[in-house]
Amino acid sequence: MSEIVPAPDLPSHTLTSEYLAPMRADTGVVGETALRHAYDLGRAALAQHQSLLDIVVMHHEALEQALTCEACRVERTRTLRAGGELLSELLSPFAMAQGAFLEANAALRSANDLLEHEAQRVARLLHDSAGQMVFAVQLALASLDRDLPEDLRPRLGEVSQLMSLLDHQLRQHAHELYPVMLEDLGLAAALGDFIENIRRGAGLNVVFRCTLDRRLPRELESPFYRAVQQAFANILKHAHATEVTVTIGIVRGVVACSIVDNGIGFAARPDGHAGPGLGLVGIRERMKAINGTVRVTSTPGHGTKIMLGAPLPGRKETSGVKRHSGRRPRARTAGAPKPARS
Amino acid sequence: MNRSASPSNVLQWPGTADIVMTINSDEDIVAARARGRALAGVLGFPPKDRVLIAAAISELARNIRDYAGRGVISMGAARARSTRGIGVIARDNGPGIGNVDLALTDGFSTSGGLGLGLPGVRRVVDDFEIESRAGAGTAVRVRKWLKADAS
Repeated sequence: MSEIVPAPDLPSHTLTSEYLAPMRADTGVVGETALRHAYDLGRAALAQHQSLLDIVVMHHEALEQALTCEACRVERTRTLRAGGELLSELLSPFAMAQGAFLEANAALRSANDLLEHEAQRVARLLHDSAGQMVFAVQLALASLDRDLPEDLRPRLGEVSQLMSLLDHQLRQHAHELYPVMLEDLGLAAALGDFIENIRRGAGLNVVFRCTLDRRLPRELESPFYRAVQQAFANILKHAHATEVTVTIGIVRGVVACSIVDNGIGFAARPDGHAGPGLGLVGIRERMKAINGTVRVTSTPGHGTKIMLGAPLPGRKETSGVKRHSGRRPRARTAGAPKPARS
Repeated sequence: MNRSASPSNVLQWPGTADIVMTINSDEDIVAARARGRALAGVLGFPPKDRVLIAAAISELARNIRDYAGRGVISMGAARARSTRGIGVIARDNGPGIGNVDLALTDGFSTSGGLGLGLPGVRRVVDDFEIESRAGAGTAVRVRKWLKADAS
C-alpha cells in the first residue's frame, strides 16, 4: 500500500492512505479495520470541531482519487460501495452526537426560563420589599422633621433627598432586571413605557402602534417584551437607525408584532458582521418556546424588518406542529422492553 | 435500575451471552465491532443500524480500554414479547465509575462534551443500563430493537 499517498492539496491528517486504500483495493469487501479507521477518523474530526462539510469533501476527494486508478475504473461499482460504507462509518460519530445538540438546546432553553424566573423574583424583591422599606424610612423622616429644631431641618432634608434617590435607583434596577409593570399592567403598558424610555434615552424617533385591547396570556407577554427589548438592543448597537416603528396587535388569533427600522441593514455593517447575530438567536429562541415564528427581512441600506408571530393559546392548532419541551433520554429502562418505535 | 448490583449477575440478561469477546487491544476492538456488525446483519438490522451498533460497540470498547485496560464484551440476540433485537454487554473489573450520573453527562465523559462516549451510546440504543461500583468494575448493558417495519 506504499504507493498510495494522500492528495497533496488535502491536509494529511484528514485524508489518510488508510481511508483511501479500501476503495482502491481489489479485495471484495471493506475490512473491519478500515471501517473502524473511518469511524475513528470521524470521531477525531468531531473532537477537533471540524465541519461536517469538510469531512464530506474529504471523502469525496478520496473517492475521486480512488476512481482514477486503473483497476478501480473497471470495478467502479465496488469502489463506490466501499466508499459508501466508509462514508457511513466516517459520519456515524456525528449521528451519535446529534442527539447531544438537541439535548443541549433543550437544557439551554430551560436554563433561560430559570434565569427569567429568577430575574423576575429579584426584581419583585427590589421593587416591593426594598421599595416599601425605603417608603417607611421616608415616612419616619417626615415625622422626625416636625419635631426637629429649625436649624437641623436642612440636614434632614438632605437625607430625605438621598432616600428619594435610593428609591428611584431601586426602581430603576428592578425595572432593568424585569419590568414589574409587565406583570402588573401588561404588555401594552410595559412596551409603551420601554419605548418612551428609548425615545428619551437614545434620542430615537420611535412610533408605537398598539392595538391590543386586552391583556395577553402571561406566558406570551414576557417573550414578546424580551424580543422587542432585544430587537432594540440590536438596533441601537448596529443599525444606525433614526426611526423605528413598532406595531403589535392580534390578527386572526395570532399575536403579531413588527419592529421596522430605517438603519443600514445587515449586510452593510462596518464590523463585517454578515448575519443578524446572537441577538436574533435569542429572539428566535423566545418565539420558538411559545410556538411562534420570526421573520427577518433586511436590505442593505434600507433597514431591517423583524416580524414576530405567536398563536394565542387555546386556539385550534391548524399548523399541526405541537411543541414538546425537549427530548428525554431513555436511560435505564431495565424492565419490560419498549416495542420498537416505527 | 440498580446501580450497585454485583456485576456477576450481568449475564442473566436473557440471550446476551452468545458471543463473548475479550477486549484488551485495538485489534480486539476491531474484532468486537466486526462480530457485532455481522450479528446485527444476521438479526435483520438495516445498514444504518448496523453502523450505529458498530459505533456503540466502539465506544463501549474504548471505554473499557481507556478506564479498565481490559474487559469483556458479550453480545447476542435479544427477545421480548413483541419484538427482537440485539443485546450487548460491556463488562470490566476496572476502577469503576464513582459517579454514574456524571459519567452519563456530556462534558464529563471522555468525549469532552461532544456527545460521544457513554452518553453517545445511550442515544443510539433503545435500552441502556449501567452498573458500577468504585473498585468493583463497570457493566454497561444496551439493547437495540428491530423497528417494526424492518423485521
